[in-house]
Amino acid sequence: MKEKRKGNHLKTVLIVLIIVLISLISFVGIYIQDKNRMANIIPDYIIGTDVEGYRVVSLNVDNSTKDIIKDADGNVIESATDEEIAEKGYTKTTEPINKPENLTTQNYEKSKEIIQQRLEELQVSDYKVRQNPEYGNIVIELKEDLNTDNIISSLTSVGKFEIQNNDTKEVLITNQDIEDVSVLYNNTTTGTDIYLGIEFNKEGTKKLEDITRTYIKSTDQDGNETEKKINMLLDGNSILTTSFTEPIVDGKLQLSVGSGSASSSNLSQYIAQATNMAVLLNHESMPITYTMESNKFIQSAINTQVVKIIVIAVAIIIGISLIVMMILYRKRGIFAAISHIGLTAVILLILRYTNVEIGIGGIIGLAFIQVMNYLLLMLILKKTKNNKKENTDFKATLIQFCFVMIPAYIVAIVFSFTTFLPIYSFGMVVFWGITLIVLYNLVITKNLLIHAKEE
Amino acid sequence: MKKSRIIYVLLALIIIAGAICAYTMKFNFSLAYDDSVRIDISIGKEYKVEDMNQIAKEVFQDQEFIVQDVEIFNDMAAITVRTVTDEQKNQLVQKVNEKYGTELTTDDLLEVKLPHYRGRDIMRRYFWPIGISSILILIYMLIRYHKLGKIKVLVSTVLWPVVMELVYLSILAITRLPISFYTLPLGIVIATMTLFILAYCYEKKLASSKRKEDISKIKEEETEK
Repeated sequence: MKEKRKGNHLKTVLIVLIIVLISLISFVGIYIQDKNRMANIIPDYIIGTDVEGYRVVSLNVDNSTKDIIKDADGNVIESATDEEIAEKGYTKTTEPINKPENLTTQNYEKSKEIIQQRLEELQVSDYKVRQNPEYGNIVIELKEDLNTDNIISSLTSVGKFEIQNNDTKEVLITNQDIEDVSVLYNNTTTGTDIYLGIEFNKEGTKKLEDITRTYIKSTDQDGNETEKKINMLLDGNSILTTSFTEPIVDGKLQLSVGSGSASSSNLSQYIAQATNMAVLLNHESMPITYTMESNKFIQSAINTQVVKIIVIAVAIIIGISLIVMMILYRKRGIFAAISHIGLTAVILLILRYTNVEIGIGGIIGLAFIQVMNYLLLMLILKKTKNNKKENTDFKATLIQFCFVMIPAYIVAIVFSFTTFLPIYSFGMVVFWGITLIVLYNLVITKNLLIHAKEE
Repeated sequence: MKKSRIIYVLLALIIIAGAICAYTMKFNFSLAYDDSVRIDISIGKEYKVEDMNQIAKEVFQDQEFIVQDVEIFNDMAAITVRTVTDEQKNQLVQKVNEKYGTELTTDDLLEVKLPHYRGRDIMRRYFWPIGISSILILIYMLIRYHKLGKIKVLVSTVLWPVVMELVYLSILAITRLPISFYTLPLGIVIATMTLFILAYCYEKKLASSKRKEDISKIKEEETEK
């Protein structure tokens, strides 16, 4: 009997020491010398954008004007000096970039929706878009990372795609003829070729076939070579001028963007370029042209100081609750409190090692897990208070708790699959939290409480 | 029964009062979510947010404002307020020049108009995750607690989270607590806690009904003997 008690005592002390060690590692860290300074080898928390800050882009409706030069036949001339205009009898008019009849609430709304669709396609994990419905100005808040500048460039473009007759400027194909655009890769011995794969819809396929049969190099009866070319434009800027060597009947066009080896920075540039073009072409062109008024990184109003205050407040509430637990259940309450602290330490370590971004949703998720574990411990302590079958009752309570937590677990799993940070952060934290509550209490808390009882 | 009736009446009253407040006074949005103006000040020198807070307090007095760092060089500040007058801009520039020895004018301030967030734009990204989890939770509750009555479980699982969310929104409307960054995550926690409590009550009822079944089985066996 005495030996059994000694054994239990040793086990209890060992478990408490393990909890203390894990808590120290989690709350303090493990420091080693690294180039004349002490560095913590435990990975740091990844702070979410809602705590760190956003890139805030402000877009205003373009109210500027442009000069349009036309010849006598009404064809648009790209550029001409004042002398040429006078000599050749061209006319020069000034038109607003955005025609007044287009500046409607409907078009503002449509432009905002297109921007949101582009952000979704670019898989931007955290963004907010707001618009003044009266004036149409849009403010976009984006996560700041290496891709942010690329993303912003694709947001402000109108995305107007045209294939024109190079000579007459007749529009042959527009955005409406496109079914899908994707980025294609071709691995060669020298590197990887990047292509933009444009797939046209039924009508577009027919138009493309006609174009590829018409705009070709040919030799006339006198033996002179003629070439009819098309001009491919994006937002009025020419991206390709070419003729075709053979007809395209499957409605698929591949445009070469560039090539490079895997190690070269050019490759990632070309991929980004192709991705941006694909995003622009996969959606309608914006009915309104916007200009960028401001593009700055604004640090969050919820700064680390506010987060520290929230964390301290939650810690105080938990501390008071644990004191209540210790008063109500004495020795077993003390061990349950120690176990709770250990669980918190383990959850925080797991979140650091699994690179979970902790935003406001994540902090609220952590508070939720604290409450859940506390309720579980109180339930276990209540049900195993004066009971000989402590082991069985502990397991029965834990199994019952598992069934009760399943709805929360479903929420956590579904939320973990989203890319929207506030939801994702909450989901991941609650997922790990519930998983650890069950495993940790089964392994650590059970042994701690049973040995405490046996002593 | 009496206790639960009192609770139902109380909840109904809160929801009605909340609906009236929301309809007449609308919800109170925090500055970060409402129509506002952001004034970017490029100081050109390192500054402290606390000092800029103090300057903003003196200029904007009773008006709500937010001071934020712009970029990472700590030489540019952004002050967000609901409205700003020319006089306030002049005062702001004057106080910044006094504090940091700069020669800024109101032309050096960049004003960015920030429109309010629309509720549906905020909710849009929550719609599918909440929808999918609701359906899966409903299926789980019906499978696990079908013995307690499928219709009863279905109605409770749908009704109680909705009621608690309405109570939460009503409290926000009545107390005029600003809708801010914590509002939606807290709403999700309330719904999750409601489902947790509901599942706990059902587990207790299920355990109780199982015990009754076991007792009646034992009694039957004894009478057979």
